[in-house]
Amino acid sequence: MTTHQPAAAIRPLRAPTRRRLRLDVVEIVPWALFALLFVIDVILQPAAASLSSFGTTTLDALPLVLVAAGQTIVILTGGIDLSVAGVMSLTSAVLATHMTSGGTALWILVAVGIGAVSGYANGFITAVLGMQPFIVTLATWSILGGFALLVLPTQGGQIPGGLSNTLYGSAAGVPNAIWLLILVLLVWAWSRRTRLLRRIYAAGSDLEAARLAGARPRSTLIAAYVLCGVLAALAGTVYTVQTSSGDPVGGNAFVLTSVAAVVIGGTRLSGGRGGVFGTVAGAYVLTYIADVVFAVGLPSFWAPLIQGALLIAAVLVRSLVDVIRSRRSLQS
Amino acid sequence: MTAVPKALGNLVRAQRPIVLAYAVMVALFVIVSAASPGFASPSHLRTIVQLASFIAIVGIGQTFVIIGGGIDLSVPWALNGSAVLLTTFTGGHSAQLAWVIPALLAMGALVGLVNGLGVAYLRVSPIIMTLGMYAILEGGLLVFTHGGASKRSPHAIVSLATGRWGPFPILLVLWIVLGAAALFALSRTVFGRQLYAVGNNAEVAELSGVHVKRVTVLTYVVSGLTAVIAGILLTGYTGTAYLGMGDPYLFASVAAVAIGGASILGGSGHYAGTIAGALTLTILSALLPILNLKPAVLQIIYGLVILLTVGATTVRTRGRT
Repeated sequence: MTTHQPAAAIRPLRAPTRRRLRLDVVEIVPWALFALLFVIDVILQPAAASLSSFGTTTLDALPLVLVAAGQTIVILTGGIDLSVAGVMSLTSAVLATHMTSGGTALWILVAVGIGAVSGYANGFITAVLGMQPFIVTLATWSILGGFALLVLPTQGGQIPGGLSNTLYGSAAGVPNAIWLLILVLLVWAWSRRTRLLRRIYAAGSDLEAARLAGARPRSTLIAAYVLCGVLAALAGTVYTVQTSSGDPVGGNAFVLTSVAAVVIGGTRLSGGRGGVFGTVAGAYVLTYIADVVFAVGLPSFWAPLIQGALLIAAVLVRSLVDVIRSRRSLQS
Repeated sequence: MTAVPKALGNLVRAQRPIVLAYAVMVALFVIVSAASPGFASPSHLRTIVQLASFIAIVGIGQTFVIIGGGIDLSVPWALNGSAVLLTTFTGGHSAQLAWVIPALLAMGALVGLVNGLGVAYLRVSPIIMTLGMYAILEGGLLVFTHGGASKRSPHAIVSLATGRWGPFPILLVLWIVLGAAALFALSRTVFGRQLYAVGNNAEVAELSGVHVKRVTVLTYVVSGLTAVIAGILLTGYTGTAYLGMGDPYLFASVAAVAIGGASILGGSGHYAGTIAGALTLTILSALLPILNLKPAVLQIIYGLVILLTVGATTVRTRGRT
């Protein structure tokens, strides 16, 4: 984490927008991997090639896409957010016990509020007190998880049917899940040009240089964690609607998968490089692994095993690529 | 004659966070036992010590890893694994323990070895490496147990974990033996001194001849071993093994180390502090039923304790430099 990259430090504020136009190998790899898994899945079960089947898989992937998008933003600053698990569990518990068919919008707002408040707490403690992100978010994960268990001690509760109809429905012949995914990609494409996102990239490239360039890392960091909290809350909402019941520990599985989607998607763990496009591919890769595991007739328990191994493999490949690149740039 | 108070004063100054941890623990204990009659009864004290021993044994490994500047998130599944494999391999028969326990210890060491090799040699960050291990162990165990039904533990382990040696629980005796080894390793061995050097500044340690990678790997091996030992004992104490029994021990072990005054950045702290941390957390958890609070509150307390103690350590060390 102490490897300084002078080139990136000098032009951190403009680098993301300019450099992104040129396609990077690191950005192609996750999509290629996704394509490969998709093809394997289609060979194993030809029905997977249909639009409705792709929509179903997209719906499966959607909570992960949302929470991993938030995780991407935090990791771009050089941090990590383990508390996404707690946010997802708590929103799941709250929605499954309180949401009524009349007040769905209100309760989704409450969920978003939970995410925003816990994200603000994470960001404030990390940025202002200077504590390590992983220990802060480990602690808030524990706290939020505790509240989730207080609200809903075991799996249960229910969600108004209207919401799941919307989620499972389709518009103009295209499943709604795919529309939502397109929305996520469009929002990312737009937000990447905003000042906030450029500051987030800058904070990850070099915190000190970013501060000197007037990027106000404190408020940038807080904003990054708030965005992550909100996205985790939305992920929790989709997850709860999908399963149409609450799970007070349901978020825990997403700590690994959200980080894995980000890393497989090519975002550098020390921050400053990568983005949500890659992460979406990473989320699809992880979801299709579960699909392929199912298709070849293995019990679903194999999925976390492969996902964990893939996370470590992706980290190793990524650091290898970085080492080779820095050697090459030293030689030239 | 003044030598003793002076030495004591020096100790208090040098180990202020640890002394503070014990002060908090004792104060808490005094308040609770004054407010709730029967809290300080011998049988209840035995229960507290037994429950604390699990956190404290997992805490040995977590202390070593954190002093070295890392963290081990994989402990819950190392513990789950040892518990479930113990009941599966023995089938509830004590005679099988002769080979099962060494096999489990070897497995714990292997898990730690892989974590350590990943962190030290492949330079994967400790969070990512041990998170990946968490998932691999989780998946591996689910595959192995087909979803994991709870199973009975062998009689010998039950009597070991619930038995008494005179007035003392055998668990306490085991904890004292393991804890003494940990204290000795940290304070009186070359490894201990090298570990603090690595945690303070790995580059400087490397330059002064410390085999940084070997020391780092060793801390994760210790952590794998202590998680497995805690799993074996917990299986005996509860009489069954189930996936998920290790879940609280990630937060609990980190919280115990943090209460003990260790910096999460490495290089400071001591197992003596973790002992106070484990006892404090257990007294707090024993307080919950008295206050009519649900067990889930414990998880909130763990989180708050981590935030407060790590926050205090961060602010203090920042003030010093």
